[in-house]
This record gives sequence, structure tokens and C-alpha cells, in this order.
Amino acid sequence: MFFNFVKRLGIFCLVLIISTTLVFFMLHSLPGEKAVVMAKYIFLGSVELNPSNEEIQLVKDKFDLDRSLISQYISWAGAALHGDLGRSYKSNDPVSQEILIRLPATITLAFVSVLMSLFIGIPLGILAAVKQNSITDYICSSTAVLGISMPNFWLALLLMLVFSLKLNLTPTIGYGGLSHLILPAVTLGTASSAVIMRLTRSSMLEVMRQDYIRAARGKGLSRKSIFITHALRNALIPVITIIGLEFGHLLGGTVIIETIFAWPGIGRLLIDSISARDIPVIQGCVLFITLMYMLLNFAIDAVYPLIDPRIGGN
Amino acid sequence: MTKIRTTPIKSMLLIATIIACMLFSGCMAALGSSDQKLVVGEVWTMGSADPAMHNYELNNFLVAEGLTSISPDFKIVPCLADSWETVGSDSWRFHLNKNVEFHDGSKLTADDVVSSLERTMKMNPSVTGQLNIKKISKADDYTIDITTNTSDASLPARMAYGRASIYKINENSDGTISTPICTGPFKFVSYDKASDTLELAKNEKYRGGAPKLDSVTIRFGIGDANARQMAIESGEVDFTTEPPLGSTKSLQSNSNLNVTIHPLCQGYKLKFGDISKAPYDDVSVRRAIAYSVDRKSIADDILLGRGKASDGNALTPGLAWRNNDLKGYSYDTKKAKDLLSEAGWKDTDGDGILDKDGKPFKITLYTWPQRPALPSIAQAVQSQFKEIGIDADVRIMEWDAISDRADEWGMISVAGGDACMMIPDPSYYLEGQFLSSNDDYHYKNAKVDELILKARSTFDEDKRNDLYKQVQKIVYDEDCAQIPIAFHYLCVVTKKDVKGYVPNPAHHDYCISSGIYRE
Repeated sequence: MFFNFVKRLGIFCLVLIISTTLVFFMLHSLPGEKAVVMAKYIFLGSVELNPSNEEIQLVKDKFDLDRSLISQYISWAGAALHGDLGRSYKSNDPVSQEILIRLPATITLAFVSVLMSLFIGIPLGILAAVKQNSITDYICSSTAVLGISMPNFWLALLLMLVFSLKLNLTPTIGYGGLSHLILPAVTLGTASSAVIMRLTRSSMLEVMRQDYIRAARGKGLSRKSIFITHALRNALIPVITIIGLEFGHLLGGTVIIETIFAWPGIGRLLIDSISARDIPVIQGCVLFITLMYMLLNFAIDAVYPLIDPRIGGN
Repeated sequence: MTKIRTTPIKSMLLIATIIACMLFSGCMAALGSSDQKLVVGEVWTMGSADPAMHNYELNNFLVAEGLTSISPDFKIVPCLADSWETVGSDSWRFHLNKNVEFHDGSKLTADDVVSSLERTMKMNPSVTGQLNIKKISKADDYTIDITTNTSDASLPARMAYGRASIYKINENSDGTISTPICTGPFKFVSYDKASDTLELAKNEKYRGGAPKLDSVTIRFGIGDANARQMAIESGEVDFTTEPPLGSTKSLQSNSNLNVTIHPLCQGYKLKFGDISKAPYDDVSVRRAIAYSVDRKSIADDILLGRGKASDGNALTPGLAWRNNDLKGYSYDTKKAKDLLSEAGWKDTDGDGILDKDGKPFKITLYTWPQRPALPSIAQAVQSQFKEIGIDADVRIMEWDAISDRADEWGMISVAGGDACMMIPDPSYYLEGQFLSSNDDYHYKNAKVDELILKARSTFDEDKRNDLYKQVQKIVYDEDCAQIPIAFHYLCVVTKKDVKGYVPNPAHHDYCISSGIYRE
């Protein structure tokens, strides 16, 4: 057990190092000269204007851009190890503060969307599997296809049109109360509910063909008991994996939805920082997103044995 | 057994409760109405409340002011300074208005002007470059002397620059300012970075009379045009700009809304990648391209009333220094073809594409997606190029990626957001676009350089404007260095009861006016 933990911790650190290093060096290959792009954002406030040579030189001096990439990386990593992620080039605020401001918005949205997809996806998936090839199944499955294929920016605008404009039930945009959460969460939740529903259905059908289900039937167990205690538990394993991935994906931010709803999430912060070549913030975001993914993986791994005691037993 | 039945029901109930709560709070939010309050839905993000670092927001929302300001008819008018005069060839003296109070009640003195301009220039090199100030000093409590690096007739106009505001130095321990104290009609109340929202309150003691609105809330970062349209239609914001291009008619027919479309000092143009290299080093080719663009159809069919076809000069009509006598380039494909054939571009292999010395006229037309009209304009230009035998491939990508491709053979781009009054003086735009030391597309004309530099130090207004008019004659008519396509107009949508908004086309992009009130 202890060895297992140390091994995992080792992998954890390795992934962090590799991902931040990769991102740092990939930033160098983005189009446009770094100092020029930064000068535009920091001093001109518009990408459509051209900075003067003095401004470009000032940016280079101020942020030490003439140094080699490796030495820039080392000084960043050194500070990061001490918990100092640096300051944003653009706003001059500490990177940790930039991320912390967006954290509640991101986590709330991700959590509610995942919760929604669970409550809709799993019951409907079971229903479709139980009533396989019935009208219910066809309705559930075709709705799911619709949910997956609908582009989410379009769904977002459609929801706004119906619920904000026509019915006047929810605010269209912005971040604040619970009411602001509803449309973005439904938009994001729809696609993941559909994915989870389809996965639950196929996984259930797969499990239902197993020998132990036949044995349970042979024993004379009731259909409901077979479904819940025998089939569902086994069928949920792949579903949980996908839920973990979806959650991680949502925590990394969803740029389009955040832009449409003017939602202050990590995704928009990351994209804005990439366009501005605001390297400390990009690095901070990548670090944060990687960390989130890995913590989630830990959590998911911890959930498996609860559902299937065979996992993690040895 | 019962487990099966209750689990979905329980969860359904939970969902229903959550949704009901959300809907209820949503209704409550929608119900709250306002007296003399205005909620503005803004396109861009604010980022920083520090007066040295902000991008015109504090100025456009009437919190901060400069020594001078720009009136809607493009005149430099007194603001914090009552009057100004030259003292020698490279020095200006500004006399401050003695009745100006900061939002904290203290009097504005020369010390405040010196310290805020010095702080801004130290923190923001872009402002430093634009202001061209060598030294700024206090002559007495209400008089400032400014020495410029070079003899500069444009300094009073540069003092109206949105980023040359005067403010109190109330720095935090780390040297930043988070609660700006300025002099404008509205006071800064708070800026919340998470929701990108700026709250302002009426400045009761404003010297020109208090504004009618009690408070203004600006919600920044509503970058999606459709979302802005729905936000104003649902009544969540009272004032917004730039809804989708195609939505003007439906908004105009909405009886709850007012739609204003007014000129702005911005436009669209064709810009060559490298004017010093083939095929664009030949002025006949540039002229042929200018003749091939059907500006009227672009303005009518793409901008849909939110713009006007260019007459050949990118400067906004109404500016005193604008040359209104340019002959421009009309839409004339025959002339375009003739010019190209004179320049040696002929279709020798009959494939419909011109060629010269075995090289076909195949080019790439770049543009970026952030301004909604740009991709459509690029497509229109592409088909118009086809008419005269130029085969253009349209590529839409990020601005920075486009600037990396300036060296490609035949590279040309459709540019938008071409703002000529960021600093309300001709020197700002004409130097930036056509001075050979500043340009990024290798345009060089010694005569233009000479005229532009001479104009900067010419203090007689008529003579100065005349020099700039000569520059426009050369760069647009003779050299065809850039090809203006259309002017961009701003669309402002407000609720019906929002009255008293006076557009100021000189501002970038717009500013609210202190006369706004709710009926």
C-alpha cells in the first residue's frame, strides 16, 4: 500500500514536470514574436496596432526575454517550487490570485454540470437498457444522439432565447447568483448527460450478457435485484471513468460557453493569456489543470473499490 | 426492492427543487428595476482599474479626465486645463481650471498633474511614446510647463489621449492603484475582477453640474454579439453596442429598444504584405487592385447599414485635416484589367488567371475572425479579384499568425479596427501608417516623410492641415499605399427609456455622455 502511494506520487510529480516543460517550450513556437505580441497587449491594449521598437525593447528588458528559454524556465520552476507562480505580465496581479478569482466560478459550473449529467444520464441509460428495443429505448437513444451532436454554442443561444428572452425565467449572461448558473450548466450538462446515458446503456447491455447474470436469473432472483445489485454495479465502472474525464475537462474550462455567458472561468483566462503570451498565467493555469486532472484520477481510483471490491483488493 | 423506486424519484425531486430554486431566483433578478441607474453591456474586458494601465475605460465611462478633451465635432476643447499656449518651439504651457475637485474633495493642483503623468509614463511606455514629453514641471500651483522631445504642435491633442488621465496617487503597498480617484462626472465605486464589473456613482459636485444618472454599472467581457443582443432584449442591460450585423432590423422593430447607428473613426482597408516586393512594387498593380474593389456592394450587403463605402480616403469625413478632394478609385474592372495588362500581367494560358513570366497571379488574402464583418469582406474581395483575373485564397487566422506571413509572395490582408483618432490628431494615424521608420509593410516615400515630419512642428493650424492633406493626396491617390474599403459605424442599442445619449464619434470606441437619464 505504502509503496503504491509512493509510486503514484512519483508519477504525479513526473506528469507535472513533463506537462509544464512541454507547455513552456511549446509557447515558444506560437506565431508572432513573443515580445511584439506582449507589447501589443500590455501597452497598446489592441492586437491591431503595431508597437514601436522602443516598446518592444522595453518588454524584452522588463521580462528578461533576451535570456535563453532554458534559463527562463529554470527561474520559473525554481520560484514555482517555493509556491510563487509569479505575476501576470498583463494585469501585474499575482498569478495565484488570477486563478483563485476564477476558481469558484469554474468549480461550481463543472460540479453542477456533472451532477446534472449524472442524474439525467444514469437513470435514462438504465431505463434504455432495461427496455431495450422498446419505444422508450428509441426515444432515449435518439435524444442522446441529438444531445451529443448539437453544437454547444448553438444550444447555449437557443436556451438563452427560450428561457431568458421568451419566458424571462433566467438571466442571459454574467456570474453571480444561482440563477446565472442554470443556463451554462444545462448547456454543458446536456452533452455529458447524453454521453453518460449511452455509455450506461451499452455497458448495462454488455453486463447483462455475462454468465453471472444468467446464473442469477437461474437462481430465481427478481429482475430488479439482478439489475441493481448485479448488473448496475458492474456496469458503472466505465461510466465512472468517463465521469472523471468529463469533470476534469470541465474544470479545465470551456472557452466557448464561458465566452457566450460571460462566465469568468479558467478557460477564458487561459485563452486570453495565450493570445497575450502572458506566460506566468499560462503556466499557472496548466499547472492548475494538470493538478485537477490528477487529483480527480486519484478520487476516481478511490471510488472503484467501493463499487467493485475486486479492484484494489491486492 | 423499494430502493429501486425511491432512488430515481428522490433524485428527480432534488433536481426539481434545484431547478425551482434557480428559476425563482432568476425571476427575482429579472424583476429588479431601476430609477436613475444604467447597466452597460461591454464588448471588451477591463483587466485593470489602475489609471496608468487601463485601456480608455475610465475615460470612456467619464471617471477620468485629461488636460484637454475632444468634442463630437473633432475640436480639442478645454477640460482640466482652461487654456494653453506655446512657449518657444518645443515647450507648452497649460493653465489649469482652478475649480476642479477630485472625487475625494481635494483640489486639483499642478502637483497632481505632474505626478500622475510622470507615474503613467513610467509604468506604461506606450503612453510615453505617444505623449512625446521630455520634461513636465510645475510653474505655479495652477500652471504646468511641458517640454517635448521634438518641436510638437500636436501636444494639446495628445493630452486628450484616453490614457493620459490625471488622477490622485493613492498607491497600494505594491505600487498599484485599485481605487482610482479622478475628476470626472462619475466616481469609481468598485471593480470586481471575477465578474469583470465596474460600479460607478454620480459625482454630485461635478463642476459642470452633476450627471442625471445616480449610478452606472458596466459589465465587461460580453464578447459574444448574440449574447449582447439577448441581454438587451431581455432587459438585463440598458445600453450595449455592436449586436450581430444582421440583427439591426429586428432590433429596430422592437418597441422597447432604441437603435442608434453613428459614424466612428474606424474603417476597413486592404493592406499589402510587402509593398517593396513583386507584385506590389508596381504601382499599376496596386491601382488595379484598388479599381477592382466594389466598395458600395460591400457597404450595402455586408455592413448592412453599419458603415459607408470609402471615397478613397481612410480618414473620417468631417476632420479638419481631411483631404476631401482625392479622386479615389471607383469600381471599374475594365480599368483594372487594362492597368494589369500594361504592367505585363496577361492570361497567356487561358485558365482565367493572369500570369507574368510564367508566374500566375495567385495570392493569399488574410483576415482575422474577431471583427464579424472581416471574413465576409474578405470573401467579397476574393470574388472581385477573380473578376480581374487574380486568384486569391482566403485564409482566416489570428492576427499574430498573419503578421508572421507578411513576407509571402502576394500577401495581402483585409484589416479592420483601423482607428484614426485614438489620439485626436492627424499625426497619430498618418505617422503610424506612412512614415517610413514606423511602417511594417515597407512603404517608403521621402516626400511623405518630409511632409509628415514638417507638419508635426508646424504650429499654424491651416498650414499644418494643408501639409497633411498633401500627404493624403500622395499616399492614397498617387502611391495607392493602402486601399480604404469602408468606414465602420457603431451601433448602440438602448432601452426606450434611456434618453440623452449624445454620440461622440471621436472616441474609441464610444463614451457614455453625462446627459444620459432614464425617463
